[in-house]
Amino acid sequence: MTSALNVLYLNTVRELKTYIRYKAGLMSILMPVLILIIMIILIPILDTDVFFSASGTENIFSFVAAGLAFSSFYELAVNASTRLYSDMVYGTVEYIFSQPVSRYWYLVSYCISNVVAGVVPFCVLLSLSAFQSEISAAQNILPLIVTSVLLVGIIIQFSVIFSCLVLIFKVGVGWLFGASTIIQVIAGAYIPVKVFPMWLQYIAYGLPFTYAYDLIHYSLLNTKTIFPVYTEWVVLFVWCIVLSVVAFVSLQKTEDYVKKQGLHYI
Amino acid sequence: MRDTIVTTTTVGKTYVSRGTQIHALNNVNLTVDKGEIFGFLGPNGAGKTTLTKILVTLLKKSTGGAFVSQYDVDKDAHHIRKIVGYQGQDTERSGYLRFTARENLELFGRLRGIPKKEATERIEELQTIGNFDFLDKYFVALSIGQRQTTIVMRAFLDEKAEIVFLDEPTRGLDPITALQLRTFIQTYVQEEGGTIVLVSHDMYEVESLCDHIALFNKGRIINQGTPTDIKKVLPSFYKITVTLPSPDKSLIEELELLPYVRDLTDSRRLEIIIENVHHVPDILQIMKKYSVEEYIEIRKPTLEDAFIQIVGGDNHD
Repeated sequence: MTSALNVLYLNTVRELKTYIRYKAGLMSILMPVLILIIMIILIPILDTDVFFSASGTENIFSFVAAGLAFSSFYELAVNASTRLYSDMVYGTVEYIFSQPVSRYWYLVSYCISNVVAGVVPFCVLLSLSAFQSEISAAQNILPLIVTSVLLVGIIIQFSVIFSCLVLIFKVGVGWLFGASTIIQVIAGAYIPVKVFPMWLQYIAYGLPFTYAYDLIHYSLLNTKTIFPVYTEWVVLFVWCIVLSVVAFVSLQKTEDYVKKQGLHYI
Repeated sequence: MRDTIVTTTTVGKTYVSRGTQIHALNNVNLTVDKGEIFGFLGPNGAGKTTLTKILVTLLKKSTGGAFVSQYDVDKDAHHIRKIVGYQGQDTERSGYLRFTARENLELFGRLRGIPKKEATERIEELQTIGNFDFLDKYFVALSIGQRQTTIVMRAFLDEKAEIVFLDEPTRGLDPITALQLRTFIQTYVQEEGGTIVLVSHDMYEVESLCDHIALFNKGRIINQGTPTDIKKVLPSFYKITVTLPSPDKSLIEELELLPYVRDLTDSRRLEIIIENVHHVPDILQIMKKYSVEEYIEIRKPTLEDAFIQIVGGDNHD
C-alpha cells in the first residue's frame, strides 16, 4: 500500500505541475483578486456607520480582504472536486480505484494541491488586510493560525464530501461555485453578519464559515465577535471533527455505492 | 495439478439502470490458470467488462464467489489490488495531458508504491520490449494509438503483478499499432511469465494470443476452452469465398441447385458453405465454367465463424 503521505505528495505535486504547465488554469486562482478589485470599487457606496456598528471597525478594505483571502480557499475546494470530475470522465479515477492507493488521501490531495496553489493570492490578500489594519500582528498571530488551521481542515472535509457527490452522481459541481459565493457572503466573509436580517443571521449561525470569518476578522481587526471567542473556537473545532467523520463515512458509502453501480462515466 | 489464479463460481451481477433491472452476469463459472493468456470473448453487453471489473475490485458482484490468487474480491480487495495490473475500456484519455508519457508512467508507478528508481528502470524495460519512441512527448500531443499504448504499458508497470487484465487493448488502433501492441503482450508473457486476461472482440487477436477462451453472451459463458476446442463444437464445414468481378445471377442459380451447399450469400462477394471437402471439385468446375476460378478462396472454419455460429444462433432465439 502506498503510504497516505506519498499519495498526498505525488498527487499534490502533479496538480501543481499541471497548473504551471497549463496557464489558463491559473485564472481560477486569480479570481479572488478580481473579486477584491470589484469590492474596492463597491466600498464607497457602503454605509460605513452601519458597517461599524455591526463589526466594530470602519476598515472595510481590510475586512473584505481578510474574508476574501480565506473564502478563496473555499472556492479552491470546490475547484478540486471539479478537477476530480474531469479525471473521472477521462477514466483516470477508475484506474486509480483499481490500485492499492488510499482513496481518502487521493481525494484530499486534490484539495490540498488547490490550497497550495491558492497560497499566493491568499498571502497577497492577507498581507493587504494586515497592512491596512492597525492591530499588531504579533499579538494576533496565534488566534489567526488556529482559526486558519481549523478553517482549512473544514474546507478539506467539504472537498472530500463534494468529491463523493461527483463520484455518486457523475456530474460536475460547477453550480457549487455560485452556491459557495452566496454561502461566503452569508457567512460574513465580506459583510458583517449582524447587518443581515434576522432570518439570514440564523442561517449564518448554522454555517461553520461564519465563526471562522468572525475569528479571522477579530484576529486581524479586533472586531466584535458574534459569540465569545472561545465559544467560536469550540464550535469551529466541533464542526471540523463532525465534518471529518461525515467525509470519512461518505467516502466509505460512496465507494460501496460506486462498486455496485460502476465508476465509469456514462 | 492445475495452478489456478482466477476462480469464479456462479457469479451474478444485477443492477438497476433507469428503473430497469439488468442482469449483467448470470451464473458465471470459470478458472484461469497461472501463466496463460485467457480471452474473454463476446458481443457488446455480454458481460465481459463487468466480470473484469469485478475481478479487479472495481465492481461488487451480486451473487456467487470470485477469487484472484485465492483472495476474495469482496473481503480482500486490498490484497488483490496489489497483485493486479489493469487497463480499462475507453481509458486512452486517462493519462495526465500536461505530462509526458514517461512522467505519467512514473507517476502511476509511484502511486502504486513502486520506488522512483525501480519505476524508471521498469519503464525502460517496457520501452525496450515494445520499441516505443514517444515516451518523452506530452500525453496531449500523442496519437490515440500512442496514448493507448501508454495506458497498456501502465498495466505492466508493476513487476510484482501476478495477473494483468487488458480490456480491449487494441480497440480503435490502426493495424500496425495493434500488431505492435500484440507483439508487446506476447513478448511480455514469453519473457516475464505472468498471466493475462484479455477482453476482446477481435477474433484474430484472441485466436492468435489466447491459450483459453470463455465465450460470453447475454451475461453467461456459453462456451469455454482452447480456440481449437471452441471451433470443434462447430459442425464440420468449409467456407468458399468468391469475389466476382461483377454479379452473376445464373452462377448463383446454378450453385443453389447443388444439394450440399448449406448457405450462400447473394452478392458480388459469394460465400458458399459446404459440409464436405469432397464437394470442392464440383464447385471449382462451376467456377471454371463461368471463368471465375481465379477469384476463389477456400478455408476451414475460423474462430470468427464459430463465434457467429454460436452467438448469432443464440441471439436469434
